[in-house]
Amino acid sequence: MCGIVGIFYKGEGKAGPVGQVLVDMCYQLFRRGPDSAGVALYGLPLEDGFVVRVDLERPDLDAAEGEVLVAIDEVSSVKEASRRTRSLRLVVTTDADGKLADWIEERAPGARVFSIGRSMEIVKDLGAADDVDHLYDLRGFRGTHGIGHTRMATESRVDTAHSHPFWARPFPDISVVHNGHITNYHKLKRRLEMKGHRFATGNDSEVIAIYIADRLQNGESLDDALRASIEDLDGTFAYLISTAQGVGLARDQFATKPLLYAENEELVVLASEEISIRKVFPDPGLVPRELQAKEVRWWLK
Amino acid sequence: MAEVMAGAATVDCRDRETRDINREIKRLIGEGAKEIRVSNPAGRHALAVALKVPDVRIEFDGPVGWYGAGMNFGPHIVVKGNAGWGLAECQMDGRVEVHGHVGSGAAASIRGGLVYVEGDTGARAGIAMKGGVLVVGGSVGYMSGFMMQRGAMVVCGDAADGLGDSMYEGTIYVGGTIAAPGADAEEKEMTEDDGVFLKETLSPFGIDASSFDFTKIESGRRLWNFSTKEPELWKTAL
Repeated sequence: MCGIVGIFYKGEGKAGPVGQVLVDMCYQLFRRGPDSAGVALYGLPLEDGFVVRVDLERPDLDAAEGEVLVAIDEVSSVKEASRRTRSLRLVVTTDADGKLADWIEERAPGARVFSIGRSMEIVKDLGAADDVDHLYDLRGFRGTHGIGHTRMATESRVDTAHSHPFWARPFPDISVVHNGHITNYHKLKRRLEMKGHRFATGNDSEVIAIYIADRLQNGESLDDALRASIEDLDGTFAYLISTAQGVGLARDQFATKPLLYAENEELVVLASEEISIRKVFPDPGLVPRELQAKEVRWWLK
Repeated sequence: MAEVMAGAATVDCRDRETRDINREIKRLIGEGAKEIRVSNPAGRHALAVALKVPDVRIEFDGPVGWYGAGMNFGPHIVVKGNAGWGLAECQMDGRVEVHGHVGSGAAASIRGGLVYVEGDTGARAGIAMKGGVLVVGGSVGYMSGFMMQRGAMVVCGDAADGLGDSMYEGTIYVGGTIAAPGADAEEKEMTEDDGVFLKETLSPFGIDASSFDFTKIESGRRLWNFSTKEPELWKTAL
């Protein structure tokens, strides 16, 4: 199963309680996926520098944090640093042309870079969205848009790294949440690896993020990339892809996985089921619609 | 706890579990309620299911979730809002009206009664219908009427790809355009009886059947028996 949710506030610079919306909507879909939960939050973009989210899978958190900071200082410099349990949030001056994530992981064992972006921050862990919020205080986050996921694992391990959202590493600010199963994952992964891309996990959903990022990098529009994905991805999928500019979504040709969108003049809300939308947006004027088979949609700032 | 007053009762779903709400509905019916209003359903799943009562009307003042009004025998369910996947699944008899949009698998496997959707439906509306009537005021999604076995489906809007794929029997009427009929789904000539049926079926919902140019789809029956002479047909059907 898995549950996916998204929120997008329309208009340049428009922001809202993205963290609270995503946690509440995700938690409503808990029974669609109780294994793990996560969110990709997009704050107001930094004019200078990048936000880095690092997960420290180590008992000696202080030492691990120290190693990460030392590593970063060699290629970039840290402007801000804060940590809540094992999630380290940093603001750095540069992502070293996309090499920063690898650089950190090679030098600080147990550190995993979940996201780097001008505005994107990925936080995820085992348990329900509520549990993850208690650990990392997601509700307080204000931002322009974001996507969330609650996972029932069918592919790959149940651990924090294999939880959604997935960052399209090393492309800043691109993330994906996916409900379904990509059956030509190995073929697509090989093809993308031959183009020089690398994968951080063994999860099939990560391939969607890299696939879209690769196309955007080659100058394609989000619309073109989403449409191409319907043809190139085999299997079942309803997914949300988020960039610094906004959110896109697509559904497979058999319409196997549910996905609803509802919008008004101020915002767009996305979810697997209406029960999730209604928890946060009870206004009957906001009417959810089911995405049709092969349909794509996107909203950009 | 809600009480029955002059045959009517109200149930508020707020801060309550689905099982608790359904039990309350059954209890009220047992105490003689004929008209039950349910407020704040907020998209909860599996509401008003497995009810065997012919003369009870239950109105939801808001959207219901998946598998709403399923496996019922008799009641009249009205939803003032959307409904999720599997609406009225396996309905034996009765009537379900949704004044909104419905997800995938609307009226799946119904054997009797009527299901009315004011708006659009997702994929596979009327899948494996074994009787009854499904009326959709808007459009239906991919593979609607798939493996239909009996009954009728009336779509006032458009139908997406694969309409009536591998249907055995039953009839589908489409007022708008059909993106592509499914395997062995064939257009048939409209008869006078079809016109009467459509008029009678649609008029209770304020829809004028004569304002549409309906296309009638039925099984071509070429998939009823395996034939080596038509390998192409079987290749796409399977």
